Amino acid sequence: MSNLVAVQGLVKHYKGFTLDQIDLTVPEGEIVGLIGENGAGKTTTIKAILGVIHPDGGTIQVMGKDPGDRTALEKVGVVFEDSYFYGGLNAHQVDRILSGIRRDWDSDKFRKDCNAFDLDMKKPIKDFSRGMRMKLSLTTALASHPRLLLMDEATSGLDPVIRGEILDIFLTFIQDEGCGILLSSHITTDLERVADQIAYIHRGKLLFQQGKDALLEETAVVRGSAAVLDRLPQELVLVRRDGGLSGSAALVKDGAAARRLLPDAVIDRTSIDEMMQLYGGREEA
Amino acid sequence: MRGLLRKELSGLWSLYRKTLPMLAILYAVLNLATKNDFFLYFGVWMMLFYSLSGMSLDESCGWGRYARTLPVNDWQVVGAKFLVSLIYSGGAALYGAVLGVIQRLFTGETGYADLIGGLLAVLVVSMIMVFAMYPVAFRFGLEKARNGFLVVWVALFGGFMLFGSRLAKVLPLEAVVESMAARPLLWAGGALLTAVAVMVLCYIASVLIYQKKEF
Repeated sequence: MSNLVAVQGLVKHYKGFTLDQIDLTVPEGEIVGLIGENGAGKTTTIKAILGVIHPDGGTIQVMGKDPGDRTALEKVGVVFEDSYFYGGLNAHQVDRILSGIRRDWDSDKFRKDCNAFDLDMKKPIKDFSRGMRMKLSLTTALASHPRLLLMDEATSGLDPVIRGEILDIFLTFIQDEGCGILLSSHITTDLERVADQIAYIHRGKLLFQQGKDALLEETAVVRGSAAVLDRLPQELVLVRRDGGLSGSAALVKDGAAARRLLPDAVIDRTSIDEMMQLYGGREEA
Repeated sequence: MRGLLRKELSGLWSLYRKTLPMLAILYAVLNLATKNDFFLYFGVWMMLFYSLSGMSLDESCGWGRYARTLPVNDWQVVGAKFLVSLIYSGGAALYGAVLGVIQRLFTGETGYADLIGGLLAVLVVSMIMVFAMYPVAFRFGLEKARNGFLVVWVALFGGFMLFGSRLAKVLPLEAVVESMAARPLLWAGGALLTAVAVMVLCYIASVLIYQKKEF
């Protein structure tokens, strides 16, 4: 299985923020969920992959080409939260415009998908609801038969029904083994549903990229007093948070091992949300 | 490129689809009623400035970022904007020429050379003004570019009002006017070439600025 995206040592400096040594891959046939707090560097990473910004260091390959390579971009579909066509245009005009830009643009598919989503081809984009705009963006991204989808907060602000429809599209898209998706989202339940891997960016650094199932099955949260958590070996603890409203908690890399060591402690399965909360307010383990 | 051009034209049309036909009728009526070519010239100038509005549409919808994800290069993205300005100004000049001819046919006046010369002059000056604004707009945004150029033009006109009489003594303006009257085609060709040279230079500068931009 080869990588559709391979990022190595990506560095980008801004005033007050640095994206630092990011290593990330999007393998064929997989959905990689990119998580992180607001301002952690998710959008910056996606922009660097697309060649929208110029990195200060590291290498990026998109289907074996440099970011911004036109032949690679022919095979990439993108949904940004806040970048698209001018709102005075309608879907019919978007179709005509992109048929003159993208070699593999499939007008029939675009119109069919718009129809399936109940998107009025003649209605100005600015009159669409947010959910409809995101559907149009997604329909646009899919109409050129891409191999790679890059989605930046594509499901944020949408109701569960529309999010469900969009996630179903992702799952259908990924049926083709040669395709892949990089999906950044704050809605971790969406990622738990569809992602194969989770990559977590925290304050400009990639904490991990790991298979979702292994991550959620192997890790666990140990709850208890500081004295209880002190009994955990350092090498088992990924992150620990003391003095929260519900007492202290530690994310451990091997829940089964923690259960053996602390049979009387409260040990729960973890969720991506909780993982982020623990890392977000972390104190060094 | 065809798609980018469509995008520019569709965006501007969706913005001005009521204004443009209204202005076209208004200027035609005013021209015929007053027998004054000023409105034809003003139309050319207006259209060139209208064509710049595509940049503010882009800024409002984050087009720059989206465009970078499409299989087009920066020369094409910027080139589409310059082409649209050319189409708008050329269209307005052609419309002005047709209206001017109709007006002359109705009134029995001649002065076709004045009409063509006037349209050419306003076309050249407007092209230089607008194309010079593009690199500044790509660098600082359209609003700042417009405000900056307004200050420059006010300063230029103010300076001319204040020091025009002194300049007339220093510069050989009369000789220039005489030369223009004697060799109108040479001057017209020179002016047009200057405008084209400015356009090419501004296009290159705009692309270089656009390439460095991050969205």
